[in-house]
Amino acid sequence: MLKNYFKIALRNIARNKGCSLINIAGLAIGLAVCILIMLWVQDELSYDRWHHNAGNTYLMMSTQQLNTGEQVITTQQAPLAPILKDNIPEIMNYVRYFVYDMPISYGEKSFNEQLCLADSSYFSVFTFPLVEGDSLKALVDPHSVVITEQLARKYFGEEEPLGKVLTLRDRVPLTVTGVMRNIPENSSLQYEMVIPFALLREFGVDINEWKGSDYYTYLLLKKDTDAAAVKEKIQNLSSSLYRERTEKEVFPYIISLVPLSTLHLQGYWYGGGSLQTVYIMLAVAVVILVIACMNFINISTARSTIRAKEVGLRKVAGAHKGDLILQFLSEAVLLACLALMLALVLVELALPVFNEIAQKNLGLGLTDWKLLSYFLFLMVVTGILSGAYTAFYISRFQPVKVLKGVFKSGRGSMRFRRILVVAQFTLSIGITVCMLVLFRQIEYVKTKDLGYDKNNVLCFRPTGGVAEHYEAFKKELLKDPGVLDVTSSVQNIVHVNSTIGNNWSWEGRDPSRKLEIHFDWVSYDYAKTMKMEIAEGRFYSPDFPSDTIDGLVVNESLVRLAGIKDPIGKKISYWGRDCRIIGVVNDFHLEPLYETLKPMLLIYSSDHQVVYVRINPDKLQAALVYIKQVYKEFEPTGTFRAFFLNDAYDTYYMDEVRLLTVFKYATGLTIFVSCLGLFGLVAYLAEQRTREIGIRKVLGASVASIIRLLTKEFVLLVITANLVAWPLAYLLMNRLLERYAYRIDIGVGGFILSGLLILTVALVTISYQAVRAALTDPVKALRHE
Amino acid sequence: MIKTVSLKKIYTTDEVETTALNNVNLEIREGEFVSIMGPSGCGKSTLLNLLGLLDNPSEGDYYFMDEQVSQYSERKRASVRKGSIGFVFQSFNLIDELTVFENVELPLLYLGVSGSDRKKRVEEVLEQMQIMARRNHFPQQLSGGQQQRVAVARAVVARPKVILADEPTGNLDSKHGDEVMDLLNQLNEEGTTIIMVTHSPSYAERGQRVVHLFDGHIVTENIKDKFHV
Repeated sequence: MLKNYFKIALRNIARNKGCSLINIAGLAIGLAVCILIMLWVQDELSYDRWHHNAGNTYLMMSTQQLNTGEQVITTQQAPLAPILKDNIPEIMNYVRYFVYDMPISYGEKSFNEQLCLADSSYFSVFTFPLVEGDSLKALVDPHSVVITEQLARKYFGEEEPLGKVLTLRDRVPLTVTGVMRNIPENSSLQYEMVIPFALLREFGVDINEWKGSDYYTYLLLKKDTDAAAVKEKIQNLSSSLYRERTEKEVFPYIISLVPLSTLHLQGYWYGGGSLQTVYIMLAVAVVILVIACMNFINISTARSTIRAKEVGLRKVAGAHKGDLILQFLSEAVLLACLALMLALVLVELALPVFNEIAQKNLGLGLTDWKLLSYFLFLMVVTGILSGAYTAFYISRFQPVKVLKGVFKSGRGSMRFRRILVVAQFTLSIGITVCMLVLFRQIEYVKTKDLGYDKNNVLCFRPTGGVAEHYEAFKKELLKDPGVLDVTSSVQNIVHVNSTIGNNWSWEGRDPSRKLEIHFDWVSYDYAKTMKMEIAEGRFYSPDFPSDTIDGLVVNESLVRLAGIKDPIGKKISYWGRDCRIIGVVNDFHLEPLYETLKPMLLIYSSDHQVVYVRINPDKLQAALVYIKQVYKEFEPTGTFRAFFLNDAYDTYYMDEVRLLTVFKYATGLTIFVSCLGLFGLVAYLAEQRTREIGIRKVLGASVASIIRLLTKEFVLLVITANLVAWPLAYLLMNRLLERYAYRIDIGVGGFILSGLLILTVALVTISYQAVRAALTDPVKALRHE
Repeated sequence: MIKTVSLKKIYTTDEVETTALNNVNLEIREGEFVSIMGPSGCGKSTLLNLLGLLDNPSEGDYYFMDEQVSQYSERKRASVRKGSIGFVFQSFNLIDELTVFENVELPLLYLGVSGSDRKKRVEEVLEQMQIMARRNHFPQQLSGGQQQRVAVARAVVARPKVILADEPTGNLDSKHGDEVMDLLNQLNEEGTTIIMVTHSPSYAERGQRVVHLFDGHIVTENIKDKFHV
């Protein structure tokens, strides 16, 4: 029986090439998008789940409520973890680490590497298998180092890496005690060089001191432990420890435990994805597939009159309604199957582009049975989704009527088709509006005046000789006409997140008043290099030696929020240091625009962690060469790794930019697929009205009036779709823009633009068929009878 | 075998109510060949549809093989239909996408007959209808007479008790018409009950009994024997 169904389905496809092509192409595009997004989602969800302990390893994080908003801190103080383990039996193990960039050399080879200094438990908590060495002993000796296969090849080529000695900062020898398998791409932790904590002692760092909370702390809980209960215990214990140390009553942090397996999709993990993006991508995939299915439904119900006779005859020959439903469903599934094959080809073609957008290395793993079964499932669902309505609709035909030839598809089905067209175009318009709004928001964010000029500023982390002889290095750089200014700070200006909290006071403060503030350490010429405006007073200057002792620069928000009048010369004390304000700079954004402007202190420091060089854009190339050359002079063994400030800034919006790219493609595809369906539908309806058009022309109708006759209805449908789509898109975008403290007004421009765009495209689609029908010779049309 | 009591069929459209059949009492014995005649619109086809269980009467009783079937659901009607009733139409009504063989095979498919049996029976009946040579052709490639022979083959392949033929010669020239009538007579002689609607008095005469319909009523029911008495 199925064979018979497939046979007739194949013959129908072959006979109605145009319609079949539209149906299969539409479904194939929908399926291809779904498959691409499925691959992407699968990859996003696979992050870190492959660790053996993924289910019960948690990153400890703390959240601080500031009056300027919430501050999430992903690192902890070092002594905390051992105390927690000793006091909370559910904690089986822990690992702490921190990350630092340093030059590593071997013989002639020297590179800057990102080092992960970690507890020796690193390899028992995480699953980074060693291909050489013993994971339990690899980090015992303070001078040991574990590297990946890739790094081993980079330094030692084909030589045996185990036992080789790398040199850290030209001074500290590190013996390779283990080689890790290369780290998979779907790992949030991408550290290729792991060094034991014990080495820190040689740098004078005592990790048992409650000082600086720079340590990522992961806790491995016993199996089947209630993480919420452990979290509660940690919160209580941390509070009492805090009270003991500071004699303050209120512990300012809310502890949270984030499962390792969900880390990647937590928005605040740098370089990670977000759950919201996953949902949006899935929604986009579903929308495109649904539009393609609607095409199918639309065209096949419209054409159902052609199949009516067959249905009648099959019933006469003894077919039950169920037989016919099965027949038409299997026909749809067969079509979906053809579409799937085409979709797989499309996916293969689109993957290079898609990978570039997604910055992933996805492949179409057709040998993966799990993935393959997803595809087949998707195919069956698509087939059923597109075939079901038609199958039930057609199987209801009464043989008496259809065989008599009086059968005409009812008004009900016409209304249904209209609803489908409106729904399709509602989705297309909705996506277009979202795309335009998102585009404007990203443009706004990228071009917004941040209070400083992020363009043409090169920044880099100084190492070795450059950091040690910063002033001489700066002087040397300024000799080049392409270098305009040089400065430094501790945190990169695009993301300053250190806070003083409440540990400060100001002259004239009402003792009950509290104000949490941010700060950064900066050096001379910071305001000048960043092109900030000085609202009052002046910036730090070597001409005033006392600046470095008790001078302080603040921003306008601080002056305003603290209510300081005539700020210059007013006293401010923090961390027990008394200073006086020497200058007020204009407000500038120190975090992505999700956050509001923060009050802040700019404290002078000669700790140069980030160096900024403002370059004359007309002499860019020469200046870059010069800077690199000077860097080499000061730091012969180091590698010069620099980036432009605006690029660093843009990385914070990578997620949005990626989303925008997805929306751009989605817009194109939804419009294309919708119009594909419209094209088929109009072609069929025009064909059906051939006789009517012929009679009208014989009676004197003009070509224009015929075109109007055929297009009017669809134009009305597209306009209706606009009216439905606009409020929905507005609500959606309002929601999406909520995370920005600074956002565009959505306005009406985007709505009208997308409405007109789609109306135009639809009109072009319809007109082609309408003009063709209108120009047909009426005699031919009537002979058609 | 077939008995109708006060059968009535009313079609209702938006505003008009049309009585297509009114108070039709008819009894047909097994093995009979009954012709139904009457002017256009008198209800011939409606009667045939009711007898063929393609439609339900508005009122009255219908006994098919002693079973009261007048208010059966579509599902139950389909079950009774398949295997028991064969149809032949004026416009042949073959499925264009299926070959001759596949068209004839269709009723057997729905009866769940096994593949090898189907092949045997379809070939047998194609042979009988002398259309075997065209078994792989599509309907559009055949002449009208050939198409109607395929339709007859399809009607008889399931060996139904009754064949309902709605103007089977209406679209054929006299040569092909005669051929089809010969086939029907032959089937009747082999024991199949035949009920045929026709406009042609001479073809009607080939049956044992002619029923005249007018405005939904049976006006005369001539048993041929009576003519010849």
